[in-house]
Amino acid sequence: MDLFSADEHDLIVELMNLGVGRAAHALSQLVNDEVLLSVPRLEFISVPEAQRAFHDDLPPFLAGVMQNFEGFINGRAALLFPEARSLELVNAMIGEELSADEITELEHETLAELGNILLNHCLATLANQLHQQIKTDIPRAFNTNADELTRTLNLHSGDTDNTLVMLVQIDFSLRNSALRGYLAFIIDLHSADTFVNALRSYLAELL
Amino acid sequence: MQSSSDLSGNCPNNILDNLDCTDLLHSLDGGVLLLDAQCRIIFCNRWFCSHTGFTESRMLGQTLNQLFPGQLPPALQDAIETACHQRLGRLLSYQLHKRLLPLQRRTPGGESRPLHQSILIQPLSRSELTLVQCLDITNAVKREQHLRAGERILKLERKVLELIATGDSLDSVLDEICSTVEQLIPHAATAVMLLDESGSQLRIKSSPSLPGFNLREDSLALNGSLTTCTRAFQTRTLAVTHDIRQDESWQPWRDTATRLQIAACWAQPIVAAYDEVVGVFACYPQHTGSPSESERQLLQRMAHLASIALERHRRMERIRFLALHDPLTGLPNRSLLNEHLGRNLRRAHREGQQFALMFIDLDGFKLINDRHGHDAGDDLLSVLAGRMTDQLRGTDTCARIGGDEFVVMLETVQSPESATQVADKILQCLSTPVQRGPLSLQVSASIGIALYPQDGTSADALLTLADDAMYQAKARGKNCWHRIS
Repeated sequence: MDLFSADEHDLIVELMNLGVGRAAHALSQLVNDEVLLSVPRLEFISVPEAQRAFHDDLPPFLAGVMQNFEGFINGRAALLFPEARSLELVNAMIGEELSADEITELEHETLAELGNILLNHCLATLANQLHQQIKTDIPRAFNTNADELTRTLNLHSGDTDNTLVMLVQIDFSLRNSALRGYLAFIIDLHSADTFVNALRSYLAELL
Repeated sequence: MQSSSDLSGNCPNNILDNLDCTDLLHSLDGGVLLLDAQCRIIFCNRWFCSHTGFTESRMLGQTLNQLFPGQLPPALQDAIETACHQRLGRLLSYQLHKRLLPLQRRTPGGESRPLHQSILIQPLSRSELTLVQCLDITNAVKREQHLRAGERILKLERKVLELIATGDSLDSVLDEICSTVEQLIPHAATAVMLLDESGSQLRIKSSPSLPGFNLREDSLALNGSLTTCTRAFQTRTLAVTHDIRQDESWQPWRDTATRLQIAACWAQPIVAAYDEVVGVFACYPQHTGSPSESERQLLQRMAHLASIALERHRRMERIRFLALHDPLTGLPNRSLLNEHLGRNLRRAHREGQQFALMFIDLDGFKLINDRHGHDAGDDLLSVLAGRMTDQLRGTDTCARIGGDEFVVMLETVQSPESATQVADKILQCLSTPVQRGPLSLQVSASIGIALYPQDGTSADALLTLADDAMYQAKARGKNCWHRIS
C-alpha cells in the first residue's frame, strides 16, 4: 500500500521500535528479569492481503490479546502468538519452571496483561510522539486459528475498503525463552488522514 | 391498541428504562469504582465498602492512594494514573501482581484473609471517567494451585513408572520414590523399609537423604514395642507420630532424630498383591505435625508405586530363577552351571587355584521309575538333590543337567584328595535308601571327577573329561568314583 511515503513508513517503524522498547523496559521491571523485544518487519496491507498473510505466515493455532483503541486513529490492535508457545511465554513471565499442559484462566489473564502492556506502549508512543491523543480499551485474551482469525479480529466489520492493516513482526526473548509473535493493528482509514498529517508534520519539524 | 408483539418488543426496553443503574452496580459481586480525571473516587459500590471496611462517604472524593497511603503497589498506582490522565485501559493480573489492593475476605470460618484479585481499569468513552473493576479470583487461584500440584505429582509419578517399566534396579526406583516425596513435601526426609527374609524385622532399603540413618544393625523388630513404622505395618494404615519427642517408642532413636533434625514420623504401609504388607514408606518432617489431606494422598500413592516396583522386582527375580533352575529339584540348571563354571574358571585362573568338577549319574534310577512310577522317581530325585546340597559349601554348585544326571562344582579344592573325599560322601548319601511311605527306594551313583587345571583348562574339556570318567566308573562296577589321570 502506498498510503505512506518511504519516509513516513520509516518513521512508523522507528516509532514502533521506540514503543516496544518502552514495553520491554516495563515488562523487565515487572518480571524482574531482562525482557528483549525487537521489530524485524512492519508492513501495511489491505484486508484481503491481511487475510492471505494470516493464512500463509501465521501458525495454524494462535493465542492472542485484543484491544480496541480510538483517538487520532481508530481501530483494534492484537498481539498474536503460536498457541503452543503462549504458555511457555506466560511461564517465563511468572518465573514458573513447570510447563503445565493446559492454559488456565489465570494464565489467560497474564497473557492479556502482557498484550495490554505491549499494545498500550506501542499506541501511546505513537500518539505521544506525534502529539496526538489516543484512548485504549481493556484487553481481551482469546484463542483462535488462522482461518478464524479474520472473524476474531472483526476484520470485515465496516467498510473493508477503508480498513488498513499494519502487521508487525515482533521477537520476544526472556529467560531462555525466545519466540516470534505478531502485532496486527486494524486501522479505520477514515482516521488515516489524521495519521498521515501527524506523520507529515512530525517529519516537517525534523527538517 | 398495542398488539402482543409490540408489547413483547417494548417490555424489555421499559424495564431497562426503569432500572436504577446505581442499584445494579451495588448488587454486583465484585468491586466497582468510578474515578474522575484526577483519580478521585466519585462512585464506589457496596462490595468495595464491605471489603475495605470504609464507609461510602469516607471513600468519595478520595484517591485510592489517599485511602491506602503507602500500601498501593507502584504498578497499580501507575496504571490508575495512566488510565485517568492518558486514557489507556489496563489489566493487572494476579500472576504478575500478587498484591494489589489491601482487601480482605471472610472465610466461611469467619477469619479475615487477603483477597486474591485482578483489576481492570477502563477509561470510559464520551466522558472523563474511568471505571475500575476489582475481581475476586480467590477460587480461581485455589483451582490453579490444585491443578499445578496435581500436575506436578503426575509428572513425578510418571518418571517413577518409567523407571519401573524400563527395568531400572529396585534400589534406584525406591530412591527415586523417596526423592519425589522429598520434592513435594519440603523439609522432610523419607525412607523405604522392607520386611526382611525372616519376616520378623523391618530393614531400611532406601533412605537417600538420611546419612547415617542405618537400621541394618538395629532394625525394627516387629514383635518388640511398637514404633511408628511397625504400628503402620501391623495396623495396615497410615501411622502418625506428630512429635517424636513426646513418643516413648522413639526413645532409642532420639539422638539420631535430633542429629538428623527429625521432628515427626508419618508411616504408610506398603501393601503388595494379595493384601500382603511388605514394608513401610516413612516420611520424617523437620517440623512437628500431622500430614495434610494432600500429603496423605501423596504418601498413599508413593507407597502404592513402591509396591508396584517391589512386585515387579519379585516377578523378575522369579522369572530369572525359573530360567536358571530345575523346577523339580530347585537346583541350578545347565545354563546357570555354565555361568558359574565360566566365572569360576576365570577366578581360579586369576588366583592360581584348583577346583573340581564331578559328573554324577544315578545307577538303577530307570528301574525305580519303571517299577514305582514317575512320581516316586521325582520324589527320589528331590530328596537326593537335597542330600547332595547338604554335603557342599554354599559357594559350591550342584546342578541337575538331565533326567538323573547332576554336575557338582567344588569352587576350590586344596588337593585332589579333598575332591575325592567329597565324592565319597556324595556316594554314601546317594546310596542311602529313601523311605517313601512303605517303600524303601535305593539307588547308587557313578561319579567322574575332573580337576582344574591338571585335567583341563576349559569348561568343555573339563565337562567332557568328567563325563568320560563317569562312564569308566560305571564300567568299573558302579557306586564308585573315577578320575582319568
